[in-house]
Amino acid sequence: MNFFLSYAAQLSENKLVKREKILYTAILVFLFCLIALSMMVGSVSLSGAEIWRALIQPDVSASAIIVHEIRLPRTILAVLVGGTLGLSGAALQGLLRNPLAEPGLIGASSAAAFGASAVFYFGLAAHSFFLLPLAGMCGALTAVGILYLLGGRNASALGLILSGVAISAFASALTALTINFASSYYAALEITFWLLGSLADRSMDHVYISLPGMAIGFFLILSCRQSLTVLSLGEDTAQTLGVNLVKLKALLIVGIALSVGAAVSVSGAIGFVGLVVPHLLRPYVGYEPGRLLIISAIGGAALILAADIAVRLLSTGIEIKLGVVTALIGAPFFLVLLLQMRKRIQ
Amino acid sequence: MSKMGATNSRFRYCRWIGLFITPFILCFCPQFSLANPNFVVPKRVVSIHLCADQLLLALADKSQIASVSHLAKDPVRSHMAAAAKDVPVNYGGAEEVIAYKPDLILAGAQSTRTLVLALRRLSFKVIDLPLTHNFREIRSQIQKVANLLGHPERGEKLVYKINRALNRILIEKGSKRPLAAIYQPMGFTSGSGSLENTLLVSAGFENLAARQGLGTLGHLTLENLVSAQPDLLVNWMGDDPHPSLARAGYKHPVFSKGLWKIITIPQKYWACGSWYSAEAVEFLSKLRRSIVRE
Repeated sequence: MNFFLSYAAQLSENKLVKREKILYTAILVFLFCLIALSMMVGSVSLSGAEIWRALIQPDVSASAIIVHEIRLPRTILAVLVGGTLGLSGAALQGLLRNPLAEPGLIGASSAAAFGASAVFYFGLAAHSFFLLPLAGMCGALTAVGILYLLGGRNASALGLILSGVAISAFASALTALTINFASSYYAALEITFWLLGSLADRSMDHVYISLPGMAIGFFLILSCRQSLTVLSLGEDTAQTLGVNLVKLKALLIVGIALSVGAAVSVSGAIGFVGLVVPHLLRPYVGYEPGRLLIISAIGGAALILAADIAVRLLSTGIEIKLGVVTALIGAPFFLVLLLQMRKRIQ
Repeated sequence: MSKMGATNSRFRYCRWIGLFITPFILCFCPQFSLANPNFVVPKRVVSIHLCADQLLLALADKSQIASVSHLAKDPVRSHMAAAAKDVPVNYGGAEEVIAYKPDLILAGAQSTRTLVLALRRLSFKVIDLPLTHNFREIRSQIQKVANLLGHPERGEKLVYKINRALNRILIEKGSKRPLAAIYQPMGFTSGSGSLENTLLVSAGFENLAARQGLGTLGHLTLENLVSAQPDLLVNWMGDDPHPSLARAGYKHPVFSKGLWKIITIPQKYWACGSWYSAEAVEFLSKLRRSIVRE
């Protein structure tokens, strides 16, 4: 009997691993297709051959400049920012044991946008460009910290969302206030960037300044992979199994704040990615928070890339903001998720 | 009012006769607005718009000016910032404007309609000065304001300045018209019908935005700009002292690739189209000659 049980478990485990492998392959292939597509879509039409030539042979021709200085940074940033949002969404959901947790919904993105915009409009970013992501990280850390202190850990889904809405609204109001106080006449027009996000006309400089924060954040979050799965069994069980809870939470919170803060400071706040992606992928990894992390990062990158390609294809005049597209996808998704949860509770 | 209309059409006629005759004709012309028996020279004029500030400061006696908008003192955008130094400023609130007990209020096209209507309801005389997009509009607006302020001769003088500056610009027949683009990061540009277009075309450039069929405020992506490779790029934000994404956009590496000449025309020359805009044309035409020579 025992033998059969363990055999069945082994079988399902094998099946799961196999399924996960297929999933990884599929999603990576999809991501690479999107990367290629992202290099090809823009307001100037370039043929595949031209793009390839420009990639391997950078010179000062218009096509080479467009490929290297405009499309490449945009694609890289889409992958990095999307990866950050997907990963931190999955990590937050594991940490708070709540499928509705997401950097945008809990206010981490808005708070990061506030930090970055404050530093930017008051001219501090001119002293050191690295102050921009640092301020974003401080903003995100404050938001996640407050949420956690408010009892996010044991809060109901509703409680979590309500505190998130409050933090998010407060941070957005502070951003608006900052921009009102900014001395530039152009600032008022730019609030949409900070609140809705965009990857338009970003350069390699933006990649360089945001990469360190994102990389450290990724490392911190991924180092918690195993403990995060154990945590899904409950805090007490996790503790008896030798998980240092204080350390785990600190690592996750700091990791999420670093990566989200760095990402938002160059892209603005983009919502819903961290909600949609982990939720779609969870069934394929056996509902294990630890295994959800990497796949969510890849999924997030794919989603942001797809949304950014859509932005470029749909825009005729002034570009649509990226956060608008993700919200158009994410908000209905969020509602469906809420309805499902309500049904399950009843 | 009908007599003032006559001034304008008469003046337009004068312009075509030429610069040298203008002063002579003026000697014989009665000062129309002053001749109007209903005309009273305003003594407390308030301006609530940057562009109106410029004309008020240039054309009125200092004693006539009650207040100008706070932007008039901004040395970046206001050509008359020095003249506005000791003048009280307003922020365009109805209450503060009324407090000056103005007998003439100069507003701009961008002044909020609610404010203008409120002031008119309180039977203040509010004159709307639309934005000017070309030198014909600039000349007639200058003259209109000069007449309103009771100093038509000062208007003539400024118009003469414009004509003299524009006449100095020689665009050799059949010479090359280099391609110029105006670009404000976030992707705005000025196409046909805009003041910026007037300046570029008057100086002998071809405007990229106009070529692409874009209107007054058009949108130009960075990719389109790079692929068009204009000879000259006018940085809209070049002298903007305050941080903004729009200004930071010019830090993008595509601008340092040496594809084009990048210049800044100080905003005070074109934030409002007025007599000094002709100086910007002069500057641009010199630049055009140096580009063609290269």
